[in-house]
Amino acid sequence: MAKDPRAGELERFLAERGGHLLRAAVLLTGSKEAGEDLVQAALERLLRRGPAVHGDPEAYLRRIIYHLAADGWRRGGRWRARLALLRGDGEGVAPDRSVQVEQRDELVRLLLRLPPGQRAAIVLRYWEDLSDAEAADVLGCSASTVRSSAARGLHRLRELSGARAAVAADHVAADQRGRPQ
Amino acid sequence: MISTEFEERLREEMRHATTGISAPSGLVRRARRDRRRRIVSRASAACAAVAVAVAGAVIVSNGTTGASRDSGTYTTAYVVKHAESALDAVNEIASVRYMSSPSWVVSPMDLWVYDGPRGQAYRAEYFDVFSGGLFEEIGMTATPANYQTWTDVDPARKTWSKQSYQGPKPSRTGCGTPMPTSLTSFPELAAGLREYLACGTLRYQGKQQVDGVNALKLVSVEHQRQGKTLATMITIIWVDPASYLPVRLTTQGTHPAVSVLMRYDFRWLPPTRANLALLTVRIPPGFTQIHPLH
Repeated sequence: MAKDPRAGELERFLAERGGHLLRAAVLLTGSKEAGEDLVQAALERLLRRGPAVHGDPEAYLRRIIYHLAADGWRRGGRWRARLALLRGDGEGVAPDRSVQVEQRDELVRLLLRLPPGQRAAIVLRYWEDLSDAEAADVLGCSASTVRSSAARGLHRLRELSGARAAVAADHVAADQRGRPQ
Repeated sequence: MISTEFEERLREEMRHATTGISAPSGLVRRARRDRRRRIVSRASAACAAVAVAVAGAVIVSNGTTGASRDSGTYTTAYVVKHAESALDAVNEIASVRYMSSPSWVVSPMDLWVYDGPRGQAYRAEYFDVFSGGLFEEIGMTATPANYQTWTDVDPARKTWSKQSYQGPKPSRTGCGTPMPTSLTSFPELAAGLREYLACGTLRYQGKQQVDGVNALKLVSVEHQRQGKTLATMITIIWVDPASYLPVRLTTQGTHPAVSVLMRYDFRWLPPTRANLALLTVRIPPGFTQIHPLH
């Protein structure tokens, strides 16, 4: 089969910038595996568009990745199954630690519990360090929507983090009192 | 009020969580392959979409299953009832050859499916539309709790990969389409066919020779108006008068988007040791195991 020169160009582009896009996708999906799936889905869309895509492929790919993530992207049952593994709520299946973001990154894990739109806004604002207006351009919404989504997401993250801290404190107190947990 | 300290902690954790992550090579190649694979199933999925819509809003129907119109010694109700019973009781391995007309629309596929007492097993061989060569082999086994293990062999790259995870709950196609529209639902092949037979859209239309079998022909013709277009979906199932199991199934939509004929030829194999071996993916010597996404 003849090699598609466009594919070669894309491979070279990804060798340079793919890591950044993948890292964003990992934050949006919660695991490297699911992040690769997300990047791959975005690439498929890029390939489908073919020569119709002009200009900066990174901007185009980033936009697709965030749109897919913000829309609560699902890819068949595989992605859901992986997410279930990540969350450890698979039926009778032990979580696969190899796909988990490290346990110490608590806030990153709690990101997964936010609605997809809030998660996307937070990654754009606090990881990509984009302004509200720049993030709005990626997500295709208004700057005020980004601002409110990010604020709500941060608020929720703080609540979730606080709740965990409270539970941990209860466990410590129970230990100290010698009660079974 | 959100503290700056909290935001800084979030930034730091995100940086830490993504440190060392780099894009693997071959992402584009995999995207192209997956896209090709999706094109393979798109025609049947499109058929399914039309058929589902038809099932929900049929405006013209060619009769019901229970019409019992005599055609020789058989009636619709008799043939459907016996085919349902056969599929209910089937303990054979379904060997299916899948192709389309025009032939270049989907990749031809040979697959073997078995829903056995110890779980399900499935193996498929995909062939290149143009060269006819094997371009991918996929195998799946699932426990009764649907914990799935997938094996994927890429002959061109001489690589193979394996992954396991808890599968989603089986989704049947019901009256929408007689055949599964995704790989993950193929193990439910017999159950899906059984459900489709019960939908009441098929009508017995006599006998016809199919691969040396004087098969009983069941035809479903359904129409739906979509705007100014009248879409028609024709499904034909031929069943063996001896076993009442399907020997061939075709679907054809006349809507511009689905004007492709999909054909599935069935053989039903007893679960002997030799036949069960057809369900197992064999890794050729010298092939390298890779990460499932590489």
